[in-house]
Amino acid sequence: MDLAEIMQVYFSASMIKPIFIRTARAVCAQDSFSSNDLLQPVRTLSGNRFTYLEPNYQDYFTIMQLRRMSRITRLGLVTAIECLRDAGDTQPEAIITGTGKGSLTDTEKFIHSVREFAEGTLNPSPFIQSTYNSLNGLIGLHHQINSYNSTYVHSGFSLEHALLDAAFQLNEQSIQTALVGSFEEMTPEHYIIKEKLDFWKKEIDGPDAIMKSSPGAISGEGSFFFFLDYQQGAAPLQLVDLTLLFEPGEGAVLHAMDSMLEQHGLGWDQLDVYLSGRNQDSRYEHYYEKVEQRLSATTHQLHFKHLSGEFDTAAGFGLWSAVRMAEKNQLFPSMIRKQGSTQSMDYMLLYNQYYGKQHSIYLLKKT
Amino acid sequence: MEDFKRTLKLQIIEALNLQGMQPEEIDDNAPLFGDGLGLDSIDSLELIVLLERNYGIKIEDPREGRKVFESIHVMADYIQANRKK
Repeated sequence: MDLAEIMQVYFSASMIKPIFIRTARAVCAQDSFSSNDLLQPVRTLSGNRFTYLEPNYQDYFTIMQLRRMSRITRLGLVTAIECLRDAGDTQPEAIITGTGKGSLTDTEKFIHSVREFAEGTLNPSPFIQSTYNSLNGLIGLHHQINSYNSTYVHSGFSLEHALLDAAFQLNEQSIQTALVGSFEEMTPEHYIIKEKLDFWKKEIDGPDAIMKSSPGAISGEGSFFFFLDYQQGAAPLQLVDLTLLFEPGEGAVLHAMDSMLEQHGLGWDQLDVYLSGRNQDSRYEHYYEKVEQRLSATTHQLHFKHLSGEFDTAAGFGLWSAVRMAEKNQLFPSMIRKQGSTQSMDYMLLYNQYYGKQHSIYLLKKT
Repeated sequence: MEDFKRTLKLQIIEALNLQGMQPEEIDDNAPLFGDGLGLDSIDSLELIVLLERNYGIKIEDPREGRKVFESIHVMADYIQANRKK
């Protein structure tokens, strides 16, 4: 690897101590919320994008409360509420989220209103709800949490920066617990904008389109929350390491993985599960192919975007899957791409990249 | 006047995103803020926007707004007396 490639390593968290993920919750295109499991049969693609399954909001909020929440903030709040309920702790010492686009519905509503009324009489509610940190505020208000509260908006690194912020504070023991999450929605209008930017597959000719290699991905959305703890307790999974790379070459990705494994005294054959963000976008598949070539035959290879679609914080679905599989000590059958020979699932490697730009590598350990 | 009040209620339900609420559930004489419908200061801004967009009425003094938005009955009377469109 040359110097230019080394410089592409955006961040390596190897200097931080591991942190523990006590609980995880997901709302996505799959039936994952009610049971906190990935129920069979999985939903296949219908139309040109994956949309998330809405929880029954009336179980959580009154009409008067719901009217102040946009489509994505009400979803994120419900996900956070259940994550905290599972953890048995509604007072985390930090609320940290990541989102690529925040509440798109209200952003669009506000921008349309600016144009329609020539910046005159503008409704305050869509503006308030369109701000990226409105969900964090709602979580704080709902549970009366006055602690550290922050939102990261860094495209394909948004969730990862939220996790790193929490990890630093947990390592310093300035906090002992943190609620970390991500939320993303897609609107018909934003879909068209990204279509013009070649984000999506051109030919979506049925539910199997997402499994076919061609330029572009299938759009998705979802919300994922994690309760982090500085100590193990009953946590099923440990976040051992996290490395971020920006626009790396294939060599830099493999080098980062080699370094990460070496740092923790591991060889490739000690990886039990590999979770891949592979989305059949032929323009960037080479990254995933190189990693797959390096994997041992013992390692189970799993992928998840054929179930969730692609979005800035889709890695959250992969991380939720890792937590839930570790807790159940069982792989999700619908995610298995290639069965390995190992009987254990101690170490997991999650690799995700967002349109070749933001690459994240998670090293996870079942406790 | 009764038809106008119903129209106004529908406009308020839409403007304030009161999903699932029917016009019949809003009492003509009950206070819109506080104990009645339970609206708050952000709703007050939304109602000011509603009056300006739909009826051409500009309310620049918030104290005036508070009086105008006392109830559906008061609001409807005020609009009928001051509307420009």
